[in-house]
Amino acid sequence: MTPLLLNLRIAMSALRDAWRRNLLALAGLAVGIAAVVAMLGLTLIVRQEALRQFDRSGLDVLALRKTSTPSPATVRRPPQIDAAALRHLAAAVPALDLIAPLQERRGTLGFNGRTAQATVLGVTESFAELNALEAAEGRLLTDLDHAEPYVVIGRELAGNLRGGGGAPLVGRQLQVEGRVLTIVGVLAPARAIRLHTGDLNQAALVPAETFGRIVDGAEISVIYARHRYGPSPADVVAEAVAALQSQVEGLALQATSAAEWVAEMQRQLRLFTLLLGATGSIALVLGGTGIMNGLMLAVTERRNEIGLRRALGALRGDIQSQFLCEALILCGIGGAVGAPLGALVTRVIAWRAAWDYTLPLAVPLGGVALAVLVGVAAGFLPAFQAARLKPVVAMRAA
Amino acid sequence: MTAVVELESVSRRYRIGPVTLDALQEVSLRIEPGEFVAITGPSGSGKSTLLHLMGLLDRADEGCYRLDGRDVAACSDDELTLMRNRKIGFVFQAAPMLPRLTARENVAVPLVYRGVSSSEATARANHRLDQVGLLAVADHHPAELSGGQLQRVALARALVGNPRLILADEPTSALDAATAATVTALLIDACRTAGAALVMISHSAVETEQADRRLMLTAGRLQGANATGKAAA
Ligand SMILES: Nc1ncnc2c1ncn2[C@@H]1O[C@H](COP(=O)(O)OP(=O)(O)OP(=O)(O)O)[C@@H](O)[C@H]1O
Ligand SMILES: [Mg+2]
Repeated sequence: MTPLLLNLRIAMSALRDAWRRNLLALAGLAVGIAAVVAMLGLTLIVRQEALRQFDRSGLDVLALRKTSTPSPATVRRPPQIDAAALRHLAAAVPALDLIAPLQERRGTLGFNGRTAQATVLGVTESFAELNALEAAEGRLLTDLDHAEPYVVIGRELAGNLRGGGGAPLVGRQLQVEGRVLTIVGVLAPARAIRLHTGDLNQAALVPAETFGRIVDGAEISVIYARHRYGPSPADVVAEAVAALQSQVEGLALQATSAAEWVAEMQRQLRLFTLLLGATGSIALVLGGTGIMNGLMLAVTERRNEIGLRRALGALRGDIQSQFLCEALILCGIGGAVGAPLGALVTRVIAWRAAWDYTLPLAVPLGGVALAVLVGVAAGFLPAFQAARLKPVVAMRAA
Repeated sequence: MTAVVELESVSRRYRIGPVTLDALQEVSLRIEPGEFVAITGPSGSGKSTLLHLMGLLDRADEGCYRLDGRDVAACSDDELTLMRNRKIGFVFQAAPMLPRLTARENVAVPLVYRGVSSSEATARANHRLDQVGLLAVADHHPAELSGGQLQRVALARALVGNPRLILADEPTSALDAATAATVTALLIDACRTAGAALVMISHSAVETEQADRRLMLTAGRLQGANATGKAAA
């Protein structure tokens, strides 16, 4: 045994004896660490989300979604966004550098004699650009495909159609809503822009014009548009809405922009940060001082042990390290409980707020490191006091 | 040959508020290797204070103390601790132990602080426990041992590092006569065998009679002309 191992032996045994005393302080510490981990975690998640929105290009994306308001009697037919309206939008709002109108329908696919349900999207070339889509096999759709009977399918859908086999799909025939189309491409794993709801990996993409031919009552349900992220994204949104409504009578639109969405996320984050920061720092201070007090008490109670060990050859440093050890073990436990708890809290909040949960391991590890730091701080004074005790106390108090 | 203990006009004062108490006054004492010195004296006469000074648990206010030829006044706290660990074994009245360790581990503690390997420390602890007849209870914790057994464990612990000097402060006063006699016999015998000097505080005539020299402390002063030891005699 070395002096340090002896310290650890005694520390484990002493903590086992005094665990009740430290329980409350430990709980406080764990809560504090959890709050700090959650705070850091959420901040990171929001930063990542924001980066993903404005990645590379520094562009903002907005979504103009048609809302199904009951059409007033004065309107003869339900409002439709048509090609003319889109042309006007492009002309009236030059800030938009990319406009991607989208038609959506849940449809039936037929392949190899089997049928399945899937989301069918009527898209233009700009949709692929907006979502940074890439073809894993074959090619993407272009605007030159016009009304050709072509279809591009998402990664997972392709997997389902293959049914485990590795046969190439490009060139094969796929029935969409009863029409026979030719598969011209399979998408690489895709992650749609934040504003798009629905999984592109499960979808079948057809040219917008083709979509109009194979789907009854096809209509543009949402327009995605991209613009340079400027000082006033709200103005661009307002201009775009106005441009469309001037062309389509009775058109009701719900507009969201990635910038707004990020701003909203950051507003929520500020609230969480404030809440978690306050809880965390109070709990950390309470937990830390609780552990310190418990150890101060232990130093007084264990004067004989300390004196005896000094008499038998323990250096001041050995005694100091005894109580630092105990503080570190206690706080280590607090951190080991608090850090995963913090990750869990992060996960729950992210889930409630519909943010992507991607917590780097460094965050909970940082929580444990913080706990260790608290341990050093909490153990410092007791360790100092213990080391100052004179060896003669061993025999004075017996 | 250098004396194990050499005290020259050593004084120790305690200040309690405005009052100064002279616990030891100009004590001079020389103890040779292997010598057995008994110290007696009334309660409060400074016997324990003297033992603590000799054991480097406390420092003198005045005078000079050479342990094994080395003046300790200039030593740092760590140096004193190392000397204590290498040269001195203690047997206290209450036989204090580390309650969380077994008897064997308690005996081995001085060796742990000396950097002795685990296997060697265990072997040496076993040997000393055997010597005091307690190898059978080596794995017991202190709470499971009787007062007499504890004092014998303490004895094994004092001997385990082969010290030059063993300091015993009323080691048997808490034991019954028969047990006390056993412990004292073991103590004296072990010191003789190991060639270690023994300083024992005791009120028992039976015990002090066996000493090479008997010293008497009264009110912090050493009585009698034989304080400088055999060499001076
Ligand atoms: N730490 C201390 N602070 C103040 N006074 C002390 C301290 N230690 C001892 N004394 C005083 O010094 C004097 C000598 O004490 P010491 O313990 O050496 O006596 P002793 O001879 O060992 O007595 P006993 O036979 O009762 O053990 C006593 O008057 C005691 O009150
Ligand atoms: Mg005494």
